[in-house]
Amino acid sequence: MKGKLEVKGLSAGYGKKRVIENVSFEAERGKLTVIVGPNGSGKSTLLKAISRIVKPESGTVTLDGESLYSLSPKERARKITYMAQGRDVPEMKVGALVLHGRFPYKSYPVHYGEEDYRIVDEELEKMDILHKKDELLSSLSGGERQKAYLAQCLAVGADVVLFDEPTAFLDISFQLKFLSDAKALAREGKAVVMVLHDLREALEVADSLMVMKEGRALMEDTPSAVFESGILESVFSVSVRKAEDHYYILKS
Amino acid sequence: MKAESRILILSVVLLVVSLLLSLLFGSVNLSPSELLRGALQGPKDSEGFIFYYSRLPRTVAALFSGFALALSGAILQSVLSNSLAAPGIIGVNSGAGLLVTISLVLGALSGWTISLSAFLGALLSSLLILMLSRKIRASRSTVLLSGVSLNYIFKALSDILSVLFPKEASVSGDFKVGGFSSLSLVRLYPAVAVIALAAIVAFTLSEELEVLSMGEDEAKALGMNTGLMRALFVVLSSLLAGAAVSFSGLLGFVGLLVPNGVRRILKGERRFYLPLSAISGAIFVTLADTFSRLLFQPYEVPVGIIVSLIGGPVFLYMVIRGRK
Repeated sequence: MKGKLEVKGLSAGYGKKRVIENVSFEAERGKLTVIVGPNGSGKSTLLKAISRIVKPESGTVTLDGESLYSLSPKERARKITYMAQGRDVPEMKVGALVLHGRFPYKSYPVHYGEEDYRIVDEELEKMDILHKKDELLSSLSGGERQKAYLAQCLAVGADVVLFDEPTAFLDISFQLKFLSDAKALAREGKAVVMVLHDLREALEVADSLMVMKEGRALMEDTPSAVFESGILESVFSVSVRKAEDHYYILKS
Repeated sequence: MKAESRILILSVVLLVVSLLLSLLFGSVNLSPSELLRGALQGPKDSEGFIFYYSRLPRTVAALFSGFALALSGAILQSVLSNSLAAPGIIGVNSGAGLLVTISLVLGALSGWTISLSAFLGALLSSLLILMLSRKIRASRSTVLLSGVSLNYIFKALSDILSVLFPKEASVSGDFKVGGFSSLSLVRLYPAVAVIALAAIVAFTLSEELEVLSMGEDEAKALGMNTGLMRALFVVLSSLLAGAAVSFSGLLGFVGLLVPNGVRRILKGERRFYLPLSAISGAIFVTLADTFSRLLFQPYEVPVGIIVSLIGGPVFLYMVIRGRK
């Protein structure tokens, strides 16, 4: 499949503190690219800089060769969508949350039409939570809430989807379901980039794996190539073993 | 018809009823026919005088101050994602009070000067909160806490002036706690115009307010310029509160209580949150003002006291029920 998200020489931070330094990597359409790294290595900041939630100091981000930074914020939001890490739950109904996914397509004064409501129902249906449409987000389980946020991302219809530790607070069955949903999204031709905390999960689910440490991108390749390079041992100070296509993380 | 549409229609009906009650009852009660005659004939006989020089200005003042203060609180609570945010708490009202005291010390006597300084005070304190929060890249709770600190500073400065200049800086009881006696229609016009304009802009931005209430990063990811939008909402809410304070005095509690109550009624349905908060605020203050005229006849208590007397237990009840 053609086309990709290309990040070149991206540096960003907060105030005077620089968190990521000269990061370059590629995320192909149709593939799930997973970013791993120890706490504080700048994974979340990288996703925020790509989507320009944090303003980068330097670097470029292109999709299929077109610069995403030269677009207006709403134009960019239609191309690239970002799902934040565990957050405060707004006092909002599920249907309203997903409807906000159509916000990037609206100008002042915002008015949602029939097509927007149809898209909301379709995406909720895909996530199996259409029956929860009129319920408060706060009344949902962690897994269902994550599905609602995913439905919002789908309602945006962007070609690049960035997930920041989406499985962090989920039960194991919801984790597996979420990862397969994300993979299916990639197979539809989107470039899906995901930060994962769980190294084993990352190795098993990723099409492409990127390793970060102290704000820098160290390596990007297939999970097996990254495993064989031995870089994971030095970055995470653990021992990684592979047996019959499954990875095991042991204390070093 | 959806439940929230029915609630909105019901609130409009309640508003009309409370406006009628406010026009009919007071130290001299009018019958509906006397009210109609007074309204049609103009200020020629006693009914006309009561209608045009007392009831109408008071009712308009109660309507618009309740409308504006509740709307201002509803906006602030959404923008700061905190149900304790209200113009009376983050220093907007006390900023207005300080500037009124300063203008009195400087020798201002006319109602117009007092209104204008109240208005400017509210605006300046909002801008100060906004600047502070931008300077320190504050989180939403920090913005709220800086507002609370400013509130105390403004109050202390007003009190110092009152001690140093006891004669000049004595504001009326009505201004201190909020009240509508001795108002004329002409004095209300500019503030009413500001309130109407700010409300129209706020209502057309209700989707933006909703998206902003999801969180800073989430709103930015959907293509919103959050810094600009937040500043716009803070300015709108201070325009509303400042315009209200300019004729109603430091009427507190409305901006805190009403939006909290409305959110409970709407249960997460946010489409009519802003208009319903505004209308409910207008009903609440109009009824409270009618009670303030009737409860202790022949005495009249400033409406702010009645607002706190009714609002306090209601808010307490909501807090206790919320915990259960």
